[in-house]
Amino acid sequence: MSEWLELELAHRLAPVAAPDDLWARIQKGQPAPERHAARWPIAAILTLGVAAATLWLAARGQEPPVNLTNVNLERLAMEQLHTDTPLNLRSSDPAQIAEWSRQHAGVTVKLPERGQARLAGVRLIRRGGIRMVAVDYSVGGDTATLLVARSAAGPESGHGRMSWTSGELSYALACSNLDHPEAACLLCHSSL
Amino acid sequence: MVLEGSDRELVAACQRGERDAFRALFEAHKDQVYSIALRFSGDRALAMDIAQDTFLKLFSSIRDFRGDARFETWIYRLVVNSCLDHKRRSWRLIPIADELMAILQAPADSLNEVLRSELRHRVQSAVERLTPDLRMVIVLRYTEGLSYDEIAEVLGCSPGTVASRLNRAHKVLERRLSHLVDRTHLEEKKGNRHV
Repeated sequence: MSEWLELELAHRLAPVAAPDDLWARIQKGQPAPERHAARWPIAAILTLGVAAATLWLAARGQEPPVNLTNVNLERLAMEQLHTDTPLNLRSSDPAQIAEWSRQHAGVTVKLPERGQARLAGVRLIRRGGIRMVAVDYSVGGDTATLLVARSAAGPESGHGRMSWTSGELSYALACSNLDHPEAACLLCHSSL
Repeated sequence: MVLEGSDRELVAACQRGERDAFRALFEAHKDQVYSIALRFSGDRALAMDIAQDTFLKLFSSIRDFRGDARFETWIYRLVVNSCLDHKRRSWRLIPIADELMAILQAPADSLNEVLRSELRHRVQSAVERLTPDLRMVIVLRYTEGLSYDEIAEVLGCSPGTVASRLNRAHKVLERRLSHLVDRTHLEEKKGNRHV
């Protein structure tokens, strides 16, 4: 055996003095409580695990699955209308916005070349692992947002007041003009 | 009043029910019992439980001691059995966490100091991770300085078995600790050069 190990063991495992309160404990005569393993380290490890998984998902741009109904999409469009998050692409060019959306979110956004709306740009959004785009624009003095997501995300079919599904894509609109939110429709429609 | 005397006299006094004899017997053997408990368990609270358990058993069964074996051997057997009982009833949670805390709490004046501290905790941790039978022979050998024959008598096995267990324990410990020793020595050499 190595000399260093012999020395280390003799040093580290040397006898120690018993604590003063040992006699008092013995006099009480109570049997030693059965010592179970502390549970807090298990809780701590589980918490850390959950936190790590959450961070990992967040880093990958994934969030827990959400059910994207039309109502959710409209709410999301409204959130995007009022968000401070900057646009990923500032552009008034419909073709440029469409190309960016295709590349980054895998959605094809057909925007009219000419219309009453003035495009501001596009922002990428991730919800429940689904990528979608929010196109910001203005109509007259109002601002609006068009949200486009793949219909596989779950919105119902049909055409609602401010949301609808067409082909593989689902759309939702939000407008700053709460009295006449249909103003947002002027992005694609020439008149209401 | 019995405050001093050989174990035989103390034991005889305890068997007669003299209260002071119990205290004297406790004082004579408390460090021995606690040391084994602490070095085996690696945990102060657990060592207290084991020591308490050992003395309660000792006092409650002292009338059964007939002097067939040395009294010291009898105490050793009691504490060894208590250690193994506690080992069976509980499990230590992730010694790594203890090591980590110890390393984090270590003074970080220098890398050398950290390594020394790390070595100190690693030795204790490496011993704690030995199987109970290997750990016990290590504790009886290095904490109590018992001979192979004495260890064999306490554990109820042959001296050959004791030698075999010690040999296995040494190999395991060498394997677990050798890299740390190398690093520490290396740092010490570097430190000496700087001086």
